Amino acid sequence: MRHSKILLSAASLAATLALAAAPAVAAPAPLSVQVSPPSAARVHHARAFLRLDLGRKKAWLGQAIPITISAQFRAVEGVTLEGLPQLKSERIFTSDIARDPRQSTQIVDGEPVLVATWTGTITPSTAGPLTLSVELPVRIRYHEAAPRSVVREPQQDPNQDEDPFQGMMNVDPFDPTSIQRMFQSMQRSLPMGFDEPLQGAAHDDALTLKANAHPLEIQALPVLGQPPTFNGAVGHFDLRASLSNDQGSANDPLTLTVTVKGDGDLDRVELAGVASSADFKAYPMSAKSEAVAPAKKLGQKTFEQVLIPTHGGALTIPAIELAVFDPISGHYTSVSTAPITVLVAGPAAPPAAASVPSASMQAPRARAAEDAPPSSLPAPPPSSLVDNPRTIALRLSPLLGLLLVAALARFGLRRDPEKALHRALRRSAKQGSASAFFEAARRLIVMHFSRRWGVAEGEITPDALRAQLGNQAEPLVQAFSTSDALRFGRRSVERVELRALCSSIEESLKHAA
Amino acid sequence: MTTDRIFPRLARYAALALALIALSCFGAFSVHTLRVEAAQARSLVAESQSALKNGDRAAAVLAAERARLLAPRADFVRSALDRAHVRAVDSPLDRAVTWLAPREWSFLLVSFGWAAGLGLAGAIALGKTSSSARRFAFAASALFALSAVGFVQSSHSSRSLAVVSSATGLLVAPYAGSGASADLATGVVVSVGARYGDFARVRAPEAARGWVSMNALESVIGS
Repeated sequence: MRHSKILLSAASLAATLALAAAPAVAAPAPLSVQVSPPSAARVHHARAFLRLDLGRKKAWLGQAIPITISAQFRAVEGVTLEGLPQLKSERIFTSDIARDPRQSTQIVDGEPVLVATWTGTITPSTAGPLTLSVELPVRIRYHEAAPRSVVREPQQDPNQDEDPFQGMMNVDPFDPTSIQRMFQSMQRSLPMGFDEPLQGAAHDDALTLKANAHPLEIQALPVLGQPPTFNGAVGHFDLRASLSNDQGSANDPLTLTVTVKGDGDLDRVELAGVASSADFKAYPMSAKSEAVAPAKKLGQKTFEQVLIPTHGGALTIPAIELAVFDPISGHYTSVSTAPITVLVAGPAAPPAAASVPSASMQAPRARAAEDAPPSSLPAPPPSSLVDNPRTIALRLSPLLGLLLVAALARFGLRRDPEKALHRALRRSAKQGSASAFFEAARRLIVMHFSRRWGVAEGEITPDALRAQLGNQAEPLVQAFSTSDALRFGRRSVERVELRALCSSIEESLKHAA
Repeated sequence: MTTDRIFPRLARYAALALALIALSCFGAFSVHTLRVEAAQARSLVAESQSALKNGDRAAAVLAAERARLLAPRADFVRSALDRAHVRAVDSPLDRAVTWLAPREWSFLLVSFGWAAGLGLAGAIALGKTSSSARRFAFAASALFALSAVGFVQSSHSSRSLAVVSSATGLLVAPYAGSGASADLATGVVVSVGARYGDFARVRAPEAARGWVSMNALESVIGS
């Protein structure tokens, strides 16, 4: 529970202490709480009472109704608030009451009274009669007035002025009663007795003040003429919209700020915001509540919405409308913002949106629009931001098959010795290695014709080749003879010559087949 | 020129043409993917901005960090990170690696993997006759190995990133009663290391280290 203390000023304290000795409150007052009938709307206590003021007898459903709660204390030395005023009712309503009361000292019936005042609003949520009461827990400290030894003469002639210091001139040092006479003279003259505050028993009592208000008739809002967009805003409001930047860039977020000001329950004001369109991608509008003192009649509520321009150009943010019920006229109205034009840098809208193309042109453009990624896509799930190693392995797995095929191909080529000799022949011709070339050539020719003719390799000689092939055998015979010549070191062969001989040997082998 | 010499040449040209076509398709696909990721990053940046305006700093930082994983070099992502006052927790190695997005690392890894695989397959098939295939395979394999290191490091650093979702203390030991060496405010980015029960060892900005309850953390790439 929140405790707050009301501090009395020196002047009010003096006044309060003086009041404690007044004949009207001289007798100890009981601290019981008396609840008066609702029509009275006021609960009295000898030193403290509470008052609840609504200021009207009828209101509309959803209308913000200003209320005033005032607690008055008199003839007390100190007051501690044990909590905030608690509004109570059997009907549903929402309330917003200032936490800190306004303190003042007022003169009520000629007496100084300390007054604490709370202001706020209540908003009824159901139609029908609304009975309202308020409770306030307080602790007050005061002194009871004791029977006075010296009492001012109420019958004294008010016209008779007495000098309070006159008695001082008549003090007789040998008369013991002269001092007492001087005090009596001063007490008669001064408006406040200076020996009274210290008299009587001190009290420190906790009590709960209560007050009832007049019953309030809550009227239901009319159904006739209610706009479809009406969402419960009752009062008088004004809408203003502004943009974070007058100029922007395509795909760069802009913040649209809409401020609702007015007299009414702002908690019931909701705005749908700008819908997504071809020009803007719109995010949901969010309300940014601002601290508004409940006592303040005019409140303010700010909404913000992130808009992302999808293309460049002069883009217009449409007006935002709010349907409102006017509690004074009893009719529905609407308030709206002014449209805002913003210059957006970036590529212009697709031509398809600007002009109507022919039928033959529409399909490719539509396809192009589908192919091009939009400027803003839904965010991916967080888990997909980093690829799983398994996914990588899966993407690389076809390579294993490829490597296997390559290895098999290599293996298959090596298994045929004649093809291997062909490769060796070409490689040695390319590298200019004559000895390797003629060794491979001799082995290739012998292997080839022994397989083809079905004879032993030893039977393949230059003479046998000439006999079987005639003139076609010349390159083959030359290979034999050059091989022999190289073997005994009688000549050298150039790379060009080897390449030519390689071609003619392979030609002869192919034609001989 | 005989047919047995023409065909190998044709096959060579066909293979080269196919490789060029494949490379072009791969490049076009890469550009498209990067554009899509940039668009997704914009959505995350907008989410971050919206969350920041609503006062939810943890959500704002989370969205900005996720956008950074998609488009780490984009200016709008850097602006979002600055707006959310995100302080980097990366080590110098992490900073070098995170210059590329984790998806870009995986993209490079797959690309160089295929290049190395094709080069190796060619080298195997052609044998000693093709030294160029061997050289290509060697170079691609080296790049594949580099990109594999980058991918592993990037993946590890991204997976270890977390954002403090509710203010907590940086504990000196992994149990609730231990003392706190520092306070971690909502929205601070930490790097999560070893785990012990419900606690994780984290590295906070300015090299602060300690233990934090897992309940106070939200992983950037989700659990």
